[in-house]
Amino acid sequence: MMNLASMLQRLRTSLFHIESRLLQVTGFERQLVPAFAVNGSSILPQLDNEKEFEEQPEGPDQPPGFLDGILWMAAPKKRRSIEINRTRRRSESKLLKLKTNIEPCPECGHLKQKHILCGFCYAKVCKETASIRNQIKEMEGGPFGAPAVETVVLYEGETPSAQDKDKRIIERPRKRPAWFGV
Amino acid sequence: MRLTLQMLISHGRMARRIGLGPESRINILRNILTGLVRYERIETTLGRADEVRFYAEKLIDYAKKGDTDEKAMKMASFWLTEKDLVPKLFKVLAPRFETQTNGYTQISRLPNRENLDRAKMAVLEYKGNPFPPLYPVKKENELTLINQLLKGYREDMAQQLDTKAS
Repeated sequence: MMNLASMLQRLRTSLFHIESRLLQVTGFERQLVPAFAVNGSSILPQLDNEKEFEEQPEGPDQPPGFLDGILWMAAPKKRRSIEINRTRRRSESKLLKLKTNIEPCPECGHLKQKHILCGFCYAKVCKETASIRNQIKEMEGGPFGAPAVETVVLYEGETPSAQDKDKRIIERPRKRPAWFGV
Repeated sequence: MRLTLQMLISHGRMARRIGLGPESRINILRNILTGLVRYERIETTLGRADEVRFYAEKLIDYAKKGDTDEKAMKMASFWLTEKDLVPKLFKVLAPRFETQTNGYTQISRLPNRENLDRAKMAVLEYKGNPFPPLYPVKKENELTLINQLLKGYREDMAQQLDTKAS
C-alpha cells in the first residue's frame, strides 16, 4: 500500500513536470507560484516550488470530504462499573412506588383504593341493574320506547306509596337486597 | 410548521382531544349523552365521562326552560339522536331537578378496565335515578353490644331524671 501511494505521488510530480515544461516551451507559462520565480525562458525544472505546492495538500494522510463524519460519532469511552450501574438501576425513580391508599371495603372486605369504588360491590349493583333493565326492556316491547314518566322499582311484598302515583312500576320477583335502602 | 417547545409540552392546556377532531369529539359526546339520558347510569372512561358531564348539565339547564322554548327544543333535538328521549328529557329529567341549580350528575371512579390498556373507568349518572345506589346508605345496627349498652344507659338516665323531677 505504501509503495502504491508513493508511486502515485511520483507519477503526479512527473506529470506536473511535463506540464510546466510544455508551458515553458509554448510560451503560455503562467506564474502559479509566489514572487521569487522569475519569468525566463529557462528549461530548468522549478523543483522547490513544485514540491512546496504539492506537499501541502498531501500533508494530512486522509481523503477529504464525505468520510469525516464517521470519526465524530459518540461511543462510550470506558466500561461502566457495577457500582455505577447499580446506582443507576436502583435510583429512586426506578424503584416500585409504595401505595398507601389501599384499604378494605367496609361492606364486603375486599381491598379497594380510597378514591375508587369497590369492584365487588359495584359488580353486585351492576348485576341487579342489569336484571332491572331486562325487565324494563320486556315492558317496553320494542326499541325507542322510553316513556315520559319516572320509574320506580318495587320488590316482593311492597306496595306503591303516595309518591309512586304517576310512575312506571317495575316489580322485581325477589326480596329487597339489604344494600338497596328504602 | 414551526416545531416549538410549546407544541411538545401541553402544560396548562385544558381542552381535551377526543376522537379524530372537534366535530368527531362532539359526535362521540353526543352518543354518550344520548345513552346517559336513556339509561341514566353509564360506564365509560374517566376522560369521556368528565367531558360529557358539562354537556349533560347544560342540557338539563336548557330543558328547564320548557319545551315551548325554540332554542331549548333545537338543543334537545340536536343532542339527543334518539327522538323518543326528547319528551323524557322535558317531562322527567327537568322536573326532577327543579329545586336544584347545579349538580345534576355524579361521577364515581371504578377500578381500571380489565383490558390491556388498563384505562381509568368511571360511572356517570343522573342523581335520583331508580337504580340501586352506588354508595349504600349506612344503617346503624341496634342489636350490636355497644348499641344495646348505650340504649340501656340512656333509659337509666331518663329514669333518674324522672325520679328527680317527681
